[in-house]
Amino acid sequence: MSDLFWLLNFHFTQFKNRLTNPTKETAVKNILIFIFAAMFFPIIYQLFFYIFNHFRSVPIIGGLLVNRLLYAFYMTFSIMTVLSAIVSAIPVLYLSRDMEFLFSSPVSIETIFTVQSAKITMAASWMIVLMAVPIFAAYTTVMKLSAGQYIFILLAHVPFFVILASIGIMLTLLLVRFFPAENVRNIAVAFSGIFVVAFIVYFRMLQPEKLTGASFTEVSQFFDALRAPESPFFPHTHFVNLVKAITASGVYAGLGTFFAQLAVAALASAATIRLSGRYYFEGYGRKNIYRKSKNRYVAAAYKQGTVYAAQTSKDFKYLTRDTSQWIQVVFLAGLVFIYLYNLYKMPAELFNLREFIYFLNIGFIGMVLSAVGARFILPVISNEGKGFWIFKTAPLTMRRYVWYKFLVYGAPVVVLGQVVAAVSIYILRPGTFINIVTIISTFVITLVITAVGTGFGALFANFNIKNPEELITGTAGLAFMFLTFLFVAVMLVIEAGMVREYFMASLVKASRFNAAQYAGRFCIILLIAAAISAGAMEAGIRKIEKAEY
Amino acid sequence: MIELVNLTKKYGSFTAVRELNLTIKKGEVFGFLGPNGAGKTSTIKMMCGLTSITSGDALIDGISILKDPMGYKHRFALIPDKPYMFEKLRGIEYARFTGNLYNVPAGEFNRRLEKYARIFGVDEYINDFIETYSHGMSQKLLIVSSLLHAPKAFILDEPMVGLDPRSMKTLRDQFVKLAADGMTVFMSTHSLETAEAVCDTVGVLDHGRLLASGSISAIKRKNRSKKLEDIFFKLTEPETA
Repeated sequence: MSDLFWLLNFHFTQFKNRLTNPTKETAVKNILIFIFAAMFFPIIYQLFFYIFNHFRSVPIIGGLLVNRLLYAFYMTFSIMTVLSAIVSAIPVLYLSRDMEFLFSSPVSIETIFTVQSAKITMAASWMIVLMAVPIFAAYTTVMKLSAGQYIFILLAHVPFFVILASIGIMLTLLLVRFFPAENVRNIAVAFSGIFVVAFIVYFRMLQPEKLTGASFTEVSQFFDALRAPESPFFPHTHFVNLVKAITASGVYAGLGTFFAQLAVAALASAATIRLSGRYYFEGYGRKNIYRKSKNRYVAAAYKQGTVYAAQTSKDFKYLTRDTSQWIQVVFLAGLVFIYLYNLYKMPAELFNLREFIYFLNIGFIGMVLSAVGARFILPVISNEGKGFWIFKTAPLTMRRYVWYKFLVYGAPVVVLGQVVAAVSIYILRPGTFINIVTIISTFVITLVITAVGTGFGALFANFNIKNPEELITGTAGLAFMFLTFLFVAVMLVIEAGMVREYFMASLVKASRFNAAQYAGRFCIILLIAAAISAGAMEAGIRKIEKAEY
Repeated sequence: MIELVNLTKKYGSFTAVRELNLTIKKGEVFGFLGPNGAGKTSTIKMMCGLTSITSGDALIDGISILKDPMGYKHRFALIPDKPYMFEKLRGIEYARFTGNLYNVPAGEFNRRLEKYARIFGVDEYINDFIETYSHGMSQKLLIVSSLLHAPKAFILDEPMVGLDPRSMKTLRDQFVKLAADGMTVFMSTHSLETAEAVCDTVGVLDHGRLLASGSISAIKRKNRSKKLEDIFFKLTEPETA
């Protein structure tokens, strides 16, 4: 037992030091996360209040629909937690620098494993647990539950997540016996990303908005599509059954299932620790064993090329081989698809306003492309990681290096912007004038996004990040989103007047559209775009030129 | 030839390197010695453009890093103390990448890669991903790749760390051969044995100051000692109150 306290104290001291001696950047990040969380909670609450209320209001089967939704969500959460536990388990159990020290200390492997497992369980579930707070607050309001019922439902998450994390850890122990640890982690990251995108796309394509005033057949179809697998072997089945029992008959009705879940959680933890005694140390020794290539070097297929060709080839290989990078493309594809699908499924009554909606579409395209820029362009310089010294010592100016990133990563974003604009035109079919305004505006937006993404990517470059998400969710990501959104908003404000005059001229003959004035206003937009782009690029280049490596 | 002229590095009020003056002749192997925190890595970082120079200058073949940084960077190769590379590339892809970065013609690239990959035993694993390499394997790939553009100066920060005895011997032998072919080698090391075995001249740095420099025999004569180790300890002995 004293070993366990020694280990807990070891981790607690590290945690305390991080908390009490934060770097300036960590302190800023923590404040921003706090602000973001403060905004996030009411948004999630409102969203789920709307969803639960919407489903609950369906006559006769409203309550069943809410339950079906819970099954679907908690099945998704279950899969996410298991995958997340695998993703967290690899660094915590196999790649952490602490492990060599811990293994050499006089503490049993089972004790080390128990403490590391607790860390994994927390890492795999904290985000979903935090989300459960506003989700069940909305559920409590809609279903008219008491505060006691709400707290008990939140408490019931503990055994649920312990069971799921234990499954994830057991799978990790077994997988690392056969595959290198890093590969297991990459596959789990890829599955998590694809699963989340697929779930969101699937849910969107169910068109839940159709439930308002839908016929019984339509509701039944939706009901069927929403059916998540239910089995006594799935932890989410028992969890939702527990929620149902508490909702229907109060806290006491759920006590039996709750204690049963606690017992299963204890059993799962014990089984995991038992399994660790058998496989963990063996897997730890094999963590870096890769299959070696049988081919010896013969003659290199080398062609003398430019620095740009060398970088493009390297970046492309990284994009396809590094899970943390190509998974971003999957997220972006899902985002763009949902946006275009929303346009396609726009309610008929809004179609009369399509000229206006199409104008707003420029703003929406800007937001979608900002998200693309944040994930695809912003982290590219930081993605060089600790290998950045190779560029710093090479005969390559940092100015050329940053401009190269602008060109190579800007090109696909410009093409994507034009494709999204073209598909929007195809769906909405507005007039020629709006088409031209949108295509040119989208082009300008993509240039600004690329310049700000590349410039801020250099300005906030962090070569120690392990995952692009660290940069996207940090100060760099927030600054990027703020500036690009602001530009899109300013552009829309300037264009709104011009577009209004154009429509007035087409509706009222007395009103005249002044093309010269339009050109003048567009020049203002171009000047603002040039100023923002040049400012961001120059700031980034200067920072990275002076950066101490 | 490498020249360091009044090279100084300050981090705020702390001076890591103080007006360092050194001249290393063409074809010379120079050993840069000093205890931990002496300023060796700061000096190398300034010489390679990884950190800014507070004052002074560094020159290779008379070309200044401040006045013509691109011309300067074409003339050297660095092996840092930690061989970070792009781990998702295969060894051969990294070599090609480096070749293109320094614009090496195809014929020369193939000839040098064949030669050095064989010498350092890199050809056995060059088709594998770098992420699968051990520290020593990465170090050897880095050495091979950095020789592809035939640099005039080879700057190495603790190059022997992580290498097996055979690779250490190969590297030492190569230093001698490369120097005989006219390359200037600047190597920081903690190993006095390596310095004695390989280096034509050495410099001893402590607290950012150059305490001694010249050929090993001259330093021994001047300090009236037969062992470089004794001289090193004497020069770098902490001051007592």
